[in-house]
Amino acid sequence: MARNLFDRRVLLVTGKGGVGKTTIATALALAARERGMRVMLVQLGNVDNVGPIFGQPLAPYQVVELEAGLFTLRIEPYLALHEYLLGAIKVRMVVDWFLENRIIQYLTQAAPGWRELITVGKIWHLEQMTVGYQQRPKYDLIVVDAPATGHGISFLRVPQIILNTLRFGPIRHHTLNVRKLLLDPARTLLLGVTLPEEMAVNEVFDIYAAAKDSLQIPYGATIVNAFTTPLADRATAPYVEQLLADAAAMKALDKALPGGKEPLLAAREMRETRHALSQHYRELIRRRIGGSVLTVPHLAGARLDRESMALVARELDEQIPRGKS
Amino acid sequence: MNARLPEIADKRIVVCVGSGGVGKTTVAASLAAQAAIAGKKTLVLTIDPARRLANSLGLVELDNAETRIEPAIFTQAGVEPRSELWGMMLDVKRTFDELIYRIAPNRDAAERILDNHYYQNLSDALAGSQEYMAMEKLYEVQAERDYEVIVVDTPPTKHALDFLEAPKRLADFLDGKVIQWFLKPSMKAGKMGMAMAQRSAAMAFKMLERFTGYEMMADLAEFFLAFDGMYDGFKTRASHVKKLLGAPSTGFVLVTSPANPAIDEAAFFYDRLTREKMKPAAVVFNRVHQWPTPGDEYLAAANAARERIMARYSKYAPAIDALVGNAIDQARMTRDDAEAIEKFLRHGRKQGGVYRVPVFAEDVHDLSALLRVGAYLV
Repeated sequence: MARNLFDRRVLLVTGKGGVGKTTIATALALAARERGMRVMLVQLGNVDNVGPIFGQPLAPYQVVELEAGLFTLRIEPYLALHEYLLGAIKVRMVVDWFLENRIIQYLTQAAPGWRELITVGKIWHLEQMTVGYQQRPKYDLIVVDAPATGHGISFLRVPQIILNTLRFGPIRHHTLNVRKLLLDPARTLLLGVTLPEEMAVNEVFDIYAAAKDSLQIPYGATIVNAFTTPLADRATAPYVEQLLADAAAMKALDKALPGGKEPLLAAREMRETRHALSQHYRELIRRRIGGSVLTVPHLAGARLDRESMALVARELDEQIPRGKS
Repeated sequence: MNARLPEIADKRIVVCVGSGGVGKTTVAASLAAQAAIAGKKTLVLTIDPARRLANSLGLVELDNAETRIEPAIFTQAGVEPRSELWGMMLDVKRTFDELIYRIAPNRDAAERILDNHYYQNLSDALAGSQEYMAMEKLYEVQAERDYEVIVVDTPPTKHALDFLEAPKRLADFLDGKVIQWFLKPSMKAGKMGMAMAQRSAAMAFKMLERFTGYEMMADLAEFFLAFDGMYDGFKTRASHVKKLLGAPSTGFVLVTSPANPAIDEAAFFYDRLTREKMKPAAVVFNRVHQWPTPGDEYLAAANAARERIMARYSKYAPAIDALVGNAIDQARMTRDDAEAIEKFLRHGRKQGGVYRVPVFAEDVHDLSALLRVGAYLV
């Protein structure tokens, strides 16, 4: 059931706060880049989570090439608005005058919805950018790390609301293009990230339902992060059983280990329980959502650094087939 | 069993703060259950609890209804509470609607807002409305009900302190003067003798309209107009809420996991709260790995032992590697957590209670599990 997620243009990485969206988005971007793609990793919201991973703080709204072929941009709505207006009005002085006007300042602070709209508008813009005579896409793949607030998908709802509200005008025209991109299964996929825990899994179910029913954005895959793997693989498992039954060997372990064998057995029980729970939630996701379910194993000692991201990227890469899907 | 966090024992209102996914709801529910057991009539106000936990307590809908947690549920968990525990799940939209009715000068004015499709579609998207509504509901409940203790679970925001600013932000949004000033120049744009500022505003307004189209501006104007005259009401309410949060009878409990980025955010919240003179009464580290033997010593000794035993029992070598390796992983996570907590507590964050709830193999989804968590909060 696995599909080539990198065969699209935009991946929207969503999920409950704390499930590891930034980790998954960054690892996906790295994995795609390893396949020779030019990748844009987009951050939303006012916190820079990606910068610390690569050891460099990222200023808002600046495209930075983190590594060869891996770009990043933190979309800051106000600066995006400035860019949009500059594109339309052309004269910087007029744009500055406009945005500095008190009424406009008040409106940009208070009016609901425009931040979300300009944000998805910018994602569309990145998708449209081309280079060279052949007009090939500037970025082969755009990976979006959705904000942690709520379900992280409220910003995807706004274009629809605008379209329901506006019957004509330039904003409607732009919004239609944005919406077309979001609804196009050949270009866009929504990914749900979760932990093998009840709250996070329920949130992914909500996201899936919203994608299917109200948003109509194609849902691509569910990624279970921090999946607890079994203590021993299939080949080793019988030996673990034999070892546990071998009184002499266990006695030797009991004597050799600080604290004896008890902590060993307690740690094993914890591991097996968590593994069972991880499997339970993966099954639940397969039943309720189906489609691709990817897992990233719980990595003891993993940190939010470049090295750990490479490990996660490799895990994901192995589960994402190549070629058309 | 009947003990409660000493730092909040004398507080009427307990606000649990922290970033998303750290187990705030669990800690809030656990603290509330303990208060009820200890003999205080308690309400736990939550935003979006885990369904299994909510269902196991008999809470079904996010509907603002105060629901008594049946004494039988306590009996099943083996405790006899000395007072009542009530739960309420917040309905943001409904709370907002009720607030509009309360503040609007009359029913017509309120309904004009509720009918506006900006309001209908975007009231949850309005900056910080979820945070504000949680505080609004808290204010209402503490003013109108006789609970001795109210435990609030704040919404999962990137910046857990949004709720502090949300009331003010909403009030600013509805600033009466600005609304007037926003609407009128555009209406009279053609008139002579306008002040420079107004003429400039009218021009900006016209330019805006070029982008949005007339329709959107008309809708927006209607939306703002509908709130006209309600500014003072919102502002008064916001200042009451703020005062309540700063009162000595209110205590904050900062909840975090020892993992990054949660713990870094928690440090940021702690310092912010302190600056706002709302220093947390207690910090709860949730899901802490607690290996019986201290990390570093165990790591070194276990590594050496592993090699020795593997050599001696070579037929079990991979099994020994897996079994001991797993224990070493646990020890390493214990060490990492301890270091992260130690680092947090430096920088003057030591005052107030510090509590560690261990990581459990299973999710917390019933009262017994809540009480198990609670046992670490005494």
